[in-house]
Amino acid sequence: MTLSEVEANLQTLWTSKRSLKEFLDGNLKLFKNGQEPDPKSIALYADLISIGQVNLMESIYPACQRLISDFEALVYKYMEECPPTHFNLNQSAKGFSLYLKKKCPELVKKIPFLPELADYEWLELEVMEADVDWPLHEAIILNDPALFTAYRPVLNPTMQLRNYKYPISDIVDQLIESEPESGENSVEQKIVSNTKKKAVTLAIFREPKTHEVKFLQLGEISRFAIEQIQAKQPISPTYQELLALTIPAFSKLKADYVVLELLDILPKLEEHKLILGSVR
Amino acid sequence: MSNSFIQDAKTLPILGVGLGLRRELADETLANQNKIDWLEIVPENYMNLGGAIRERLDAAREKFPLVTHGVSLSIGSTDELSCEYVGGMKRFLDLIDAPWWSDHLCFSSVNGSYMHDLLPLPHSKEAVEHLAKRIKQAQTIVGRPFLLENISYYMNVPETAMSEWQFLSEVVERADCGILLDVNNIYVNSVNHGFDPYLFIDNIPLERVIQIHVAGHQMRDDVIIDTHGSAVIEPVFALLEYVLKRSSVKAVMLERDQNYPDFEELLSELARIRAIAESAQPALNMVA
Repeated sequence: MTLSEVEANLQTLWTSKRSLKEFLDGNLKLFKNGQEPDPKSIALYADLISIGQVNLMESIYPACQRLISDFEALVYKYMEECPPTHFNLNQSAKGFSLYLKKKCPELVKKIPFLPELADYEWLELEVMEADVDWPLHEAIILNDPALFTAYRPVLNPTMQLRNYKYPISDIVDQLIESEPESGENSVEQKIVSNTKKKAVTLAIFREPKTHEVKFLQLGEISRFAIEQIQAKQPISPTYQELLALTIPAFSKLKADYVVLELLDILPKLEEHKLILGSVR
Repeated sequence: MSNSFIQDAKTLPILGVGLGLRRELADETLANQNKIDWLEIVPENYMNLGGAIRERLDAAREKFPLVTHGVSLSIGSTDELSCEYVGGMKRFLDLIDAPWWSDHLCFSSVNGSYMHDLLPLPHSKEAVEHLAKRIKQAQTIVGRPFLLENISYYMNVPETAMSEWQFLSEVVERADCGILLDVNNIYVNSVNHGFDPYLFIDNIPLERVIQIHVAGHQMRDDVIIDTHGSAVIEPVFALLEYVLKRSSVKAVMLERDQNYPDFEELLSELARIRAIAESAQPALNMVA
């Protein structure tokens, strides 16, 4: 048997629960007579690999774990169907939200916000670890019309924007504030039963100095403005161009109102560090 | 790098007694520069990552010499060597200017998927050839001396035809690379597989041992598992002393990856390692 065959057969036994069971039951022979590995050792390695996968998923998806009754079994299925293809261990967990959406219809029927919750938890890690160059910027106060044409907002380069159908931040907050429980009256069950659709837009980004990941809920005008800035990257529109894009998008509102709203919002976004400052 | 690892090894710096940089212990580790000579980092936990991770790396670089100890090179895999990984490793080593880099005598991926564990290879001629070729390839791309670590293994892999020490020796000689000798792994394997650990040490090319790992382990049913989650035991310290008296290593390092004790306890273990090193190889005692 070649090295390649040995590795492939061991991989099958270590990573496929079905193959492992068949092997342990004596119904699967992958090696030559007399070369069969010790079943106990095969089971041990399979277990070590599984423990590592479950630990990883629990650390990245603590909220999902609280809501999914047999999280471990789901992790095994996920890892078998979407085996890790990247050398970085954390990347193994990246596709969990999509997996829930595409491959777990029953579970998602029961907990419809689960794929969004998984996406939220994954983004927290991704944004936290993002390797970015922080762009140069200066702090200016927009108190002169000339500044509107000269300066552009500098967007936080770690930012990811999400339009969720469910109030995911509220769900996470409820879980963080409570101890894990089980049963009909548990926090988990109440969240599953009581959560209703409520569209929210979240900007997820990292504070440059503290590295804290922030989830900022955006209103309609701020969402539109951030989308416009994001769409024009790497060079943001000037503040004047941003106003020119935003006013017609809210034609049902008075132009003055939109301008004042935007001028009120921009410093707040800068305070939160979603906008880092301005650049010429 | 020249054409001879042994030749290059002579110019490698002596690092002394070090500790693994772990997130959970980072503050205490970075604050104890007077008791720790150097740090070993798991490169996969830092490569292409920013934020607090990068800040921790930068703080460590400012205070300590660093070397990497990888877990995902998968040097024994029959897949193609990952260009993304090896290329990334080269850039990372250039960034931290590590005098050498290391990974394990194992495979961790096959058929394009990673199992993210250190998995044993058959101790066979075919595996020796395969490993030697890949180590040479990786060492050439990275351009820095490579050390291969003996792993703990819990099964006899089909097609095995030689002892573990023969296997390790043949691989490093054919590949012309160094050894990162884990004395805890020698102990664990000697108990699990029933061999004399001193026989292992006596039969490997000690002139290729550049770095030593010291760690603790735990029992699971009737098998000892290399968990790095408990204190180092006396027989492992004895193996360390035995190797140090017969070699000329550049660095010794304490591994602790889980079940973290009070940091003082780790400093005590480091002091014990330092005392052994001082008596066997005075040059290793950098702090003194």
